[in-house]
Amino acid sequence: MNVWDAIGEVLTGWGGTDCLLELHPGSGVIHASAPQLRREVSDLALQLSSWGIRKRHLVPLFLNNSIAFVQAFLALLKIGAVPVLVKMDYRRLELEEVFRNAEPQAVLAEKHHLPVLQPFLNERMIVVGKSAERLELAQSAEGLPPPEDIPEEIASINYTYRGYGYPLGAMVSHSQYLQGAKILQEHLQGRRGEKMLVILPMAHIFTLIACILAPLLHGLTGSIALTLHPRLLWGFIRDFRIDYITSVPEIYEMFCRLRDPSIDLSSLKAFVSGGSRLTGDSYDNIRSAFSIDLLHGYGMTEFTPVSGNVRGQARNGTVGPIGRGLECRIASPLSDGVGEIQIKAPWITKRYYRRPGETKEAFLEGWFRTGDLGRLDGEHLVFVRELKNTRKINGNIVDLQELSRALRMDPEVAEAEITWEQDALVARIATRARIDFKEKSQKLKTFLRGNLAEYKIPKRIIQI
Amino acid sequence: MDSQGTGMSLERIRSAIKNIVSRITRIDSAEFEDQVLIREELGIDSLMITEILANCEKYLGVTIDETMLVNVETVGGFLNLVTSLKGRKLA
Repeated sequence: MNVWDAIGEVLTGWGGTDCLLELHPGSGVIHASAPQLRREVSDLALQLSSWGIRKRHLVPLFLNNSIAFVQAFLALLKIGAVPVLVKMDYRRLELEEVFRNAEPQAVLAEKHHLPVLQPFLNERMIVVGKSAERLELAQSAEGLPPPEDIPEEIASINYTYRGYGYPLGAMVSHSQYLQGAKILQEHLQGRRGEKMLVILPMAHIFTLIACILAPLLHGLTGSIALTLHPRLLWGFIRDFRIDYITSVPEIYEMFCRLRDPSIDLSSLKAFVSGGSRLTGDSYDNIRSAFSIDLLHGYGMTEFTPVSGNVRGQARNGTVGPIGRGLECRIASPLSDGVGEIQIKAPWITKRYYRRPGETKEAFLEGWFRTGDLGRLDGEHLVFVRELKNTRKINGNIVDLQELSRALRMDPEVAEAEITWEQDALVARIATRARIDFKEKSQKLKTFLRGNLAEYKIPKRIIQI
Repeated sequence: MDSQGTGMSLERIRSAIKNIVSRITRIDSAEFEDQVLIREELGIDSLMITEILANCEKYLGVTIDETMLVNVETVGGFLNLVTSLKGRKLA
């Protein structure tokens, strides 16, 4: 079943509550009822079709968190086009790889973001820009043939990393989205009419599944906050009686430090957590500060959630039991039971777009190799660390090889070794000649800032 | 430091801001010279900036809109922004 068909069915019998809210700091709230969302997605699908977007067309989305993002995503699915999910933080090096790999037929972007994308747009692309609440055709193109290598079952292409030094487009099926949303709901047990706060970027599959699709498919209201400022978020939680938040541990830790006991947060029932490591101390601090369930889980672009703690049964130190219907094994465990986490299910990503070699390496005898180390503790999975050459910063995946390659683009850099120390990226650089390293370090950071997502900039650059 | 930071001299306000930034970023405040670039040189990310703003609001009794930071690039620029907001509040 197509994601839009499934959501369309649910919207028909939704009832009177909003299905989406957009919470603006200081300037009110935008509501979207179920009939309104159905109508607006249908209208937008017609509009995008009239502009030339067709079935199987690949369409990168560069939109901020908003009701418009949800509408655009669903409208593209309705047409049968394939949204390409890419972080707005991506800059030249990442965008070069994505555009070269995907060769999209159209782009849908915030108007203010189009200059960043300009080097990758060409006259053969349909370009749609969004400003305020309107989408406008910025460039038209006729009769673009769709690619022939996107199976019918594929809903979207979502870019991720596995340590190769460049992003890979995971081909995400409709059933992957629907099954992920089903498992998330089985763990969270949210009820119709309750509200999920959306604060993580929607281009990330964790946010799409936990904050948009699972709520839409089960009658909860996705409440999109356009800020991470705790003072404003406390106000939203109090005023709109928010029941759940989905976020990464780093943001929950910040919430702990900035908890204001004078503000009524009694509507909160549970936190859904994922995307980064959650230490035992952090778990205790968050639970102590908020006194609600903290449901930490584990997943990846190729399937999420692989596992997740269950409402009322959460355990510190684990990422919860494996999602129902998913098989999981620990490959080649050592004496402590730690080995590579491998998963198998009909609905996980089966390949990376136009990357046959990387696809072949990702599977072993039908099992998907996560590239992470873990062990089983009874029925619960315990995440130990990454095996692949990536790290997570605030839930964002950083490919250490990509960063090293970017630094070595500088002709004065002979070697660049990237390590993870005290929760920060550190680059150790060997130069070809003696130079003013302080000045070089500054220039390298400036170069990286224009060429990679900001969160990939190393905190320290050290000369070796 | 008292809550709201009332009755503080300009130098103490600047010192309080530097202490907040140092605590959150785990960078020695001795590195916070006025011309130092917040993002490029100190590596302060957007989540840290959010927490810094929230702490400045909490301890200095100012309200800082995130849009005010669009043109702030240096430590000196940030100190001037917050001290000017504090000064308006005291006036």
